[in-house]
Amino acid sequence: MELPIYLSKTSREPIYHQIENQMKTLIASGQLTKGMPLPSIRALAKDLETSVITIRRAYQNLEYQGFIQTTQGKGTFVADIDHDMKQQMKVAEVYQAMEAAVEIAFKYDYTAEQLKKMCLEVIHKKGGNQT
Amino acid sequence: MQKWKQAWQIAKLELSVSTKKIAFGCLIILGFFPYAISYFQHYLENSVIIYDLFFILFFILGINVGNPNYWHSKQANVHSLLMMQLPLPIKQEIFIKSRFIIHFCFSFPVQIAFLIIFYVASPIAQLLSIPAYIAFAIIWLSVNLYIGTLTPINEVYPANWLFTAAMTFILLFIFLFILSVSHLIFDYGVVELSIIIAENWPVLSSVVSLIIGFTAVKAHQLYMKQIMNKRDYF
Amino acid sequence: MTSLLKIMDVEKNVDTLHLGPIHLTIEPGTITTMVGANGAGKSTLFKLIMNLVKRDTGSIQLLDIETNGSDESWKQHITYQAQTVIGWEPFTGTKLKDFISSLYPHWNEALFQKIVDLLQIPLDERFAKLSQGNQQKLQLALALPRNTPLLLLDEPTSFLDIPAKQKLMNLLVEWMEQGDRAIFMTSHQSADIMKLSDYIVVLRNGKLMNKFEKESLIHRHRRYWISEQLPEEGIPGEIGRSTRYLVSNAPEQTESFLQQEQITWTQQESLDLEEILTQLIERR
Repeated sequence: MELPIYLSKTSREPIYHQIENQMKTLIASGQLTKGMPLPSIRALAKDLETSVITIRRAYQNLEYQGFIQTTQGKGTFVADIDHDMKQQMKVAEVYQAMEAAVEIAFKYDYTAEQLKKMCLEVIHKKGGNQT
Repeated sequence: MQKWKQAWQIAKLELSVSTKKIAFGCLIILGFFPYAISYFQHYLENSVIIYDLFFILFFILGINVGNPNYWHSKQANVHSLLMMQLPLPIKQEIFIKSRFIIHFCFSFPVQIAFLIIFYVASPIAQLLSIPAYIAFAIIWLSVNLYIGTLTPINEVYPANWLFTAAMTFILLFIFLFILSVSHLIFDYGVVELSIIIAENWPVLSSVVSLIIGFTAVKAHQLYMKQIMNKRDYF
Repeated sequence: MTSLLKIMDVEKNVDTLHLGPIHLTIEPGTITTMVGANGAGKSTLFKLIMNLVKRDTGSIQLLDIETNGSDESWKQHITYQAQTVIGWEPFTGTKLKDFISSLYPHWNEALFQKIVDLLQIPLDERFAKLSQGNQQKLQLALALPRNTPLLLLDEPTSFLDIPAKQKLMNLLVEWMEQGDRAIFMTSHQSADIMKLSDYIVVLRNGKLMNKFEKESLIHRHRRYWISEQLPEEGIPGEIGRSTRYLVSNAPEQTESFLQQEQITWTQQESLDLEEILTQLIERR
């Protein structure tokens, strides 16, 4: 099984962390549901062109936080995540995307006011309600 | 015996593709049979050194002279077989025995066939009774055990055909020298001597020959092991 | 966990090449790739491990058994696939399989058949008659089913076509998952290394450099795109530059230096493995 995980060359975020976060997102968004089998560490390392050391670290962290479960001899599966956790994940993901956008804007010396305006414009364009 | 059986399993692989080599070897050795039979009477009367020499060579090498391995020929180098088998879990001792087996397959059958034909076709039957002739046969087959078994050692030696040819010639000259001395001292050639010994002391000569032969086979295996352990295989 | 393979203080003189001193351990569950220029001594190191080439000094142990001692049982636990195999030429695939499989108690016949079907290897032709690609495929088909804890592969993909390479990757991944095994290989193909390797060792002029963890090696080689004028020298971590960018193998130091000098970069990225390896292999 392959996972839609994309690793960034330009990010300073460690690879295991990128994998960890993207898997959390996949689980929170419901693309990965409870009980689904995950690729083995070695297979995922091959698909993502990284090493088992990195994948093992990501899996260990995910398991520790309760996102996945490993059964000896059977493999690794998506764990049962409660609703609150999913919500938290969704919020966290949106925050993360916005933080990235804000960072770029500040790099180009936009002010907070200009940024707010841009943000509203985007919301409007995407069909959201302007309040 | 168990070890020789295992070695036979290893040797079978090479023997299974050796038909051409064996046929070629037989073709080369073919001339020796009629020569040894038809010149026997002449040899007994005149003690020809060259007759002794051919006899010795035949009982050392068998049809190995026609085996490209012996000459370290590029196409059929034992080196390549070593490269194939050394990384496999074959005990060195078994590997060495398998090389000896291959040498024996390239020598004993044709030597035994010769001894049978020689008894039937040459006048030697008038000189030796069957038991004495068996002793004669054992004396000569043992030569293969104590000198012939240098052949597999030559194969694992880091050599080329030129080296082998040179060594073969040097060996030839040593034999020639020994034969000449034997002719000078005893007035007989080695073949004649072996006939006399077989006639007078058939049991003793057979036993002594076999003891020397088997001791040499053991010693040569150890020597081959030493050579292999020193050598680099690239 | 104990090491499968322990190489300690090994040295060997071969013609003009002085190999060593070499220290290296291979742990179960890992794939390690050795890279180096042609003639750096990679194949010789493999032959030293197999005791085909005899070491001048040092110790090589497979599962704690010296490979040049009187105990030859270590050969049961290692599979060596040479870069150019010799001695197989007169035999057909079937005959080679019968011979080799009889020597390994854990031979996996089903896996052999699977590889033969998957890679479409002709078994009835003499090895010498096969194309180089098919020879390499047959070698692999006769290597993996031996199920030894350690697999030494010298350039296993050099003649393989693209689909075969992909299939081999999957086969090796599956093979690794069967137990506490390890692969130690050489390769010039950075795609193979990216997909398979956990560790990378670099052999340069007979010297073995550190064992690098692939991910951290990539992570700490970074390129900074800079439009401003850079100081001629003295940038910590610098290992290369052009008019538009700077390459560093110590990003933390480089970044703090650049910030201190108030030089800003427009973009930064990790280097491709190929660039990093070129750097490591050729660095003086």
